[in-house]
Amino acid sequence: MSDLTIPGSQSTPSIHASWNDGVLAMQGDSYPENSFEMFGQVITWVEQYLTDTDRPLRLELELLYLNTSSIKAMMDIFDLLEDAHGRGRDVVTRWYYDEDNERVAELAEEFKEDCTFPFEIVGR
Amino acid sequence: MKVDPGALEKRIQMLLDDKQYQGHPLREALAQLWRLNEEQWARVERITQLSDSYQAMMMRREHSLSARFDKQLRQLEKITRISDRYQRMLRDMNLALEEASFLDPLTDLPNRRMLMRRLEDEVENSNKSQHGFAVTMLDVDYFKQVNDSYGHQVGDEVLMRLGQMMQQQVDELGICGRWGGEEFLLLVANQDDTRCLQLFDQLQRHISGASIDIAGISLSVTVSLGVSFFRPGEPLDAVLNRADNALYEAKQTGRNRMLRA
Repeated sequence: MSDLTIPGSQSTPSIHASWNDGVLAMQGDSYPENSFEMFGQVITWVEQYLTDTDRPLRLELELLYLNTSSIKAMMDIFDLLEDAHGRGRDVVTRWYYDEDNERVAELAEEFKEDCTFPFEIVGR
Repeated sequence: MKVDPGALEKRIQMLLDDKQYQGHPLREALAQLWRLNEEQWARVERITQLSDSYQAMMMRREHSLSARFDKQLRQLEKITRISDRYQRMLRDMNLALEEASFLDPLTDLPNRRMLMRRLEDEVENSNKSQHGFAVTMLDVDYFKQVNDSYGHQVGDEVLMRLGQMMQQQVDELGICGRWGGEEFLLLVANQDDTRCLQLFDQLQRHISGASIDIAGISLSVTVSLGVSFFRPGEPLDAVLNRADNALYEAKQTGRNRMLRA
C-alpha cells in the first residue's frame, strides 16, 4: 500500500497519510461537495493500514470547521481506531487547536468522549 | 377415559413381545400401527426442533438489529450535537464579523459603512415625516502635526479621545462615527435647527478648550465643522456635499470654527 495525499482547498482539509511512518495528518476546514468520496479514500487507507500492518497508527489533526457529513466520517475513523485499540493495537490521536479558539478544543472533546484509546487535545 | 401414554406403551410392547400372539393377524396390524405411530412422533419432534431453532435465530437477529439500531441512533445523536455546536460557533463568528464590519476598530465608533446605513435610514424617515436632520462633518485641525510631533500612537490616542468627547456630546440625540482619517461625521435627528447648531457649537468649544493628556504629554487640538440640514426629497449626496463644502469653507477661513451651509 502507498501513501495518500490529498491537497487542501478552501473547503477541504489537506490530507497526508504516510504508510511508513504510520501517520495520518489532516489540517484545515472540511465542508466538501462530496464528503463520502473524499473521506472514503481516507477510511479505506486506515482500514488497510490496520489490517495489513501491525504497527502503531497516529492521527495528527488540526481541523477547524467540519460540516455534518465530515463529522460522520471522522466518527467512522475514530470507530476504526477504537476497534483496533480493543484488539490491543497501538493507536493514538492528537488534535491540535489554536489557543485563541477554545471552541475547537470543546468540539474535539465531543469527539473524544466515547474513545478509550489515547486522545490528546493540544493547544498551541 | 383418560389414557396414560406410558402405561399404554408398556402394554403394547408387552403384547407385541408375547410369543403366544406370534402369527396372529391382529398382532401384525398392531405392530405396523405402532411403528407408524413412532415415526409420526419422531417427525413432530423434528418439526418442533426446527421451528425452535428458527425462532432462536430470528431472535438473535432481531437482537443484533436492535443493537445496531441503538448504536446508529447514538451516533446520529452525537453527530447532531456536534454539528449544532459547529453551527453555533459559525453563527457567533458571523456576528463578530458583522460587528467588526460596522465598527471602527480604533475609536469603537460606527465606521463609514455603518454611518451610510444610518444616513440612508434617516433620509427615509425624513421623507416620511417631512422633518430634516442635521449632518456635520468634523475635521481635526493640523492633525498631521500631532502625528509628526508626537508619533502615530499619540495621534491614534487623540482620535480616540475626540471620539469619546463627540459621543458624550451627541449622546442619544443622534450618532457620530469615523468617516475616515481624522474626519468624523455627526448626525442629529428630531431636534430643531437652533438646538443642533447650539450642540455642534458647544462641541467645537469643548474640544478646543480641552486638555488631552496622554502618557505625560498634555496637548490640545481644535476642530473645524461644516453643518448642513437635510431637506426632505433631496438625495443624500446633496446634504453630504453641502456639509463638506461648509467644512472646506471653515478650514479656508481660519479653522477652529463651525460653519453652516
